[in-house]
Amino acid sequence: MNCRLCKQHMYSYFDSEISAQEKQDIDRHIARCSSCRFQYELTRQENLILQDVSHIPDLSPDFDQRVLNAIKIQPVLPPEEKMLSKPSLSRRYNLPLFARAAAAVVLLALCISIPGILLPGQEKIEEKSDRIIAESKCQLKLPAGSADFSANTVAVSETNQKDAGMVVNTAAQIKAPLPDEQDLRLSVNPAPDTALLVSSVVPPKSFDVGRGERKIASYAPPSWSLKNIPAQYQLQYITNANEYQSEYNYLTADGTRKLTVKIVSVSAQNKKESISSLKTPPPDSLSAQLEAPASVSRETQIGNNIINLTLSGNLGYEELTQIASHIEIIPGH
Amino acid sequence: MPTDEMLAAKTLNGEIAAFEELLNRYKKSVFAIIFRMIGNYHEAEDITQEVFVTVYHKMYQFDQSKKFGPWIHRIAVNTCISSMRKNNKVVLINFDESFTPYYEPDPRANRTDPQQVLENQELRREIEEALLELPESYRTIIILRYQLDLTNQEIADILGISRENVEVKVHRARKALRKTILKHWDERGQKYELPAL
Repeated sequence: MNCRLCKQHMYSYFDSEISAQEKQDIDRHIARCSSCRFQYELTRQENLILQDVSHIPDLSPDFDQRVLNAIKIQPVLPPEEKMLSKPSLSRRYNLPLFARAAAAVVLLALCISIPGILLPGQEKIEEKSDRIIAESKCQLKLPAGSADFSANTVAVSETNQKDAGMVVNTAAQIKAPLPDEQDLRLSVNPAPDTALLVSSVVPPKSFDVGRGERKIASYAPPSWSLKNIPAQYQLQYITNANEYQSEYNYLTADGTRKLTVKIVSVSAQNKKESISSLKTPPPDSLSAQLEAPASVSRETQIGNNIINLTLSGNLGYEELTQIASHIEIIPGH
Repeated sequence: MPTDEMLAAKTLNGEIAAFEELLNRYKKSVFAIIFRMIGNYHEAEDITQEVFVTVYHKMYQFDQSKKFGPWIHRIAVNTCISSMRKNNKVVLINFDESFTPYYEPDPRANRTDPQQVLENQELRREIEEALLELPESYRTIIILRYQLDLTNQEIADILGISRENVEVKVHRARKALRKTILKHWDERGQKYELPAL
């Protein structure tokens, strides 16, 4: 055994990947060669340290619950619904390049001439389930440094287009403070026949559902803002924000008192129909998780809109009433 | 005791308890891989959560005739790499957060010589630092081989490469690790006396 062979077999020696004879040869060589002995000792110590997993910390105690919460809002769909969309016509029929190009030109012309036909990734994020279901992850890129993110909440919701875009299920949401990168990962798994609505106080720059980024057009900022909330209540985040409704979640500095103010706005003409469809709250909305059932409602009209204000939280009925009577609703954000 | 593959089948049938059991069996190993690759506790925990959510939703893609372990570890490795690339991240080592607390002397080691303990910690730090400097492919393979104590065949199944290829990669990764450690010593003009472990 010479030094070159010894060094060559050193890792195999400790990984028990050499024969007994080779091992014996190495043992004999390192007994008389100080350079190889150093390599042997370094390798031995490297192995000990690499194999030592005692310093891997434990996961947080609530980790399991967090995972289970994350998956509960996204029921597992049967495998047949999870199949990827069929290959494009050009791939299925192996069309030549010029034919594909011609088809693209015709499609583009149609999109320009007929309103309502959209190119993939253009305007509405009407992602049918078979187009994005294989990628249950979306990514939002928010503009860096251009806005105050401290009270932002980004939610991706399923909306029922037949019912004037009403939110039927909040698929995923994340609350402030946002990560430094302003790069969010939310999981969505929409049911068939629903569209996705991205709502955020700060308009996201793009929305990535795993098939390339696309522009956001159906971004919905809250249409109203609130004044005269008692100073001890700090706005934590806004949920379910869209043009019809938004929920403002407040908390006192000591964290003991929560206040949620929900604004629902409907046009005066459609009041009856829209109010009835708003009765069912999104199943995962944060307001449903608040402890105290006490709530106070107030209705007011601003311009052509009927505004329904509902206050709830773990504070007394009297305080809620007092806050409700003083709140001023300002159109716009 | 039900096998992992049986639990996967039950999960697909909507039995959440089966998924909870899988979560329990694999969360440590998945987190270990990710923590070692990322080097940041909170980020590693978030990615671990993402892995389990992905596993749950992609369970239908799992081939139940194969082993569940390599499948989930493969998802862990891929999610981790993709997250690092997405964030365009040169992984910075934050010793304050992720490593310093773990350099405390191991009480089980029964070492009393403070100088020796210090040197062992120093070597550990050198290795950790060098490990995080390695290209992600080398780092991945070292973590799988030594920290998870997987065989070359198991690593091959996770990475989707041949066993022979794994052997070559492990060897190259170890050499790269050694080179990095020695480079650090040279840069500091350090003549390193190996501590006794």
